Amino acid sequence: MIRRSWLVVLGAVAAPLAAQGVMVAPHAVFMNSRSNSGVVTLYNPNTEAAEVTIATFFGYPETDSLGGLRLHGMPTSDSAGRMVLPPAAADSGQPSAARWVQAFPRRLTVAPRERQTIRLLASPPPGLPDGEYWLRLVIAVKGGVVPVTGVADTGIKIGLTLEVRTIIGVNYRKGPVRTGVAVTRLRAAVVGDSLEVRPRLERQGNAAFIGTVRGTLVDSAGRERARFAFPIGVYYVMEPRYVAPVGVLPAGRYWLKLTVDTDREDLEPAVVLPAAVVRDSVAVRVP
Amino acid sequence: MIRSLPLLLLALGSGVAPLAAQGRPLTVSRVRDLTFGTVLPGVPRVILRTDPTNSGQFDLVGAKSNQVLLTFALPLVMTGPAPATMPLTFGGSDAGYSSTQAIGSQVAFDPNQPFLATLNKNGRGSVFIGGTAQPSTSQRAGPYTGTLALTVAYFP
Amino acid sequence: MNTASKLTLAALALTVLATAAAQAQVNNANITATATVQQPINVSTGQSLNFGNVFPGVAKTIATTDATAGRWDVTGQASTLVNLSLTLPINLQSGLNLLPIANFTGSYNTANNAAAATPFPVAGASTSLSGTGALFVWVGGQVNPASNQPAGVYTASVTLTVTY
Repeated sequence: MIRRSWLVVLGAVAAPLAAQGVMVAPHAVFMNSRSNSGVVTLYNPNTEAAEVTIATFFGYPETDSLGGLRLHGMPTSDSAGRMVLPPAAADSGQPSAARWVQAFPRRLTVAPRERQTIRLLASPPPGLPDGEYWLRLVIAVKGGVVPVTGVADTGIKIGLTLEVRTIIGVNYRKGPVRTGVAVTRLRAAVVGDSLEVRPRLERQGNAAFIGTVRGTLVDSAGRERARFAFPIGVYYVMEPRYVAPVGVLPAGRYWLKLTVDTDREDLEPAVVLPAAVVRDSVAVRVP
Repeated sequence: MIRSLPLLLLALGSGVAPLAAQGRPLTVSRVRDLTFGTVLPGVPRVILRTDPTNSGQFDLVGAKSNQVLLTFALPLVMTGPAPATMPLTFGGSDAGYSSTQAIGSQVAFDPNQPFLATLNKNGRGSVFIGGTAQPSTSQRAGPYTGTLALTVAYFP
Repeated sequence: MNTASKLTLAALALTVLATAAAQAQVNNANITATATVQQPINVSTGQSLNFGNVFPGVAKTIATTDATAGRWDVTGQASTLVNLSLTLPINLQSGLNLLPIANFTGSYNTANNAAAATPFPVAGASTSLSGTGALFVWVGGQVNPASNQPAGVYTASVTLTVTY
């Protein structure tokens, strides 16, 4: 047997991969019992068609011990890389809409520069108590196989299919809903050239708190030294960790002033539940 | 019945009265708003005047076979959550006139210029209009609205 | 009559008519133009993970800082917290033949600068979009072809999941 060397080529060598993916709007869907319907728009801004599959499951955002965002109920993957949704029973005792909100269609192709609509239809069970119910929508997008260039005389080619999954929230509201947030255990420190802030945020009422966390660092003379704003959705309790650059600060005593409100420029004002503005502050010492 | 209205106006001494003697009064009515629907930041949204669901439409009723001058007052922007606005543009063939009132058989015209149209033998006609919404890449989320006015002058 | 003359006459006619309109019956009506802007999120594959030439029996690694690392581009609402996770194959497959791929690495940055990116565990990490709503994610890995790797077309998927 004659051994001959050959080459394996993984991915594109000469031809760059055309961008693949779709724009998903809105990034948070709000439904109610009056219409029992919702719409998600997909737009393909690229030059190749995108294959899209839709899935739903129960989940909500929470934070880990380090203050990072994670999703309760996050789907897993099997050994073949296929998405495995959490079992239906995982939403037991939770305000889940996953069993009675369906998405149509669940498979579609979005042509280049085209838009398609995903419709969400709710069929809530009779006697559903007033309140807000949640689910998550997975938009999985598969573009074309990566263009392959191989060595002609080996007959070997390798392609890597790239896929993206976007997970957004769907909130269904029935009857009167109210929300609010309580801020406790506010901590702040300057680490290196960054300000690190961790509040404990606990939702009030019977609906998720959708708003913005704003912080301002002021020095002893009242001058502003840093400012940040992060959108937030509090479903139960979160302790997010926020980091904002502050540069090099002189040693001294500073104050971190925190405000949590419901002003969100990225969402239609009509879908954001009003709530009282909450303020807190904590001293920050820079040695 | 329709012809009795001018007579009534004449009896009341209305300023419209001199027109009454000229026959059927001209009416222009809103049929359908111009609807851009969901718009994504940075992605222009074009509505064709032939779009049966989203194009704007006015209906005209007047004297049979009469000529009317159509003049649009078009907004440059739609206003959204204060102080956000979104540019709105109308191209040279974004308006159409149909004497048969069929959306599929229009004569295109420039909505930025006056246009002379002829009502059909029943004294009717329809005006359709499309346009382009031009959201910026940082366009603020929310509902946006603007008003398009169509003025119709009727020559007795 | 030439075209210019016709246009001139047409314009004159319209002018006369417009003047006459002042004495004509005039009516008007309004319609409303409406639109609803919705903030999107966009996750797109910006660049493939490209191993270039690979020889049998010789492992090859692409780091996230290499020019041929895979890259996704994320755009959305400014400063939004997101969770990133990668679903990775163990093997590339060609029929029944497998070609191992392992040691994946991931990093992210709010600027398109892999050298200054922050490494993250492929199982998942939390970060924020930039003040302009941008985030870039890189992936690298290692292929380990056997010395007797059969010829064929080997394929697999790498999936980035972005949770809003």
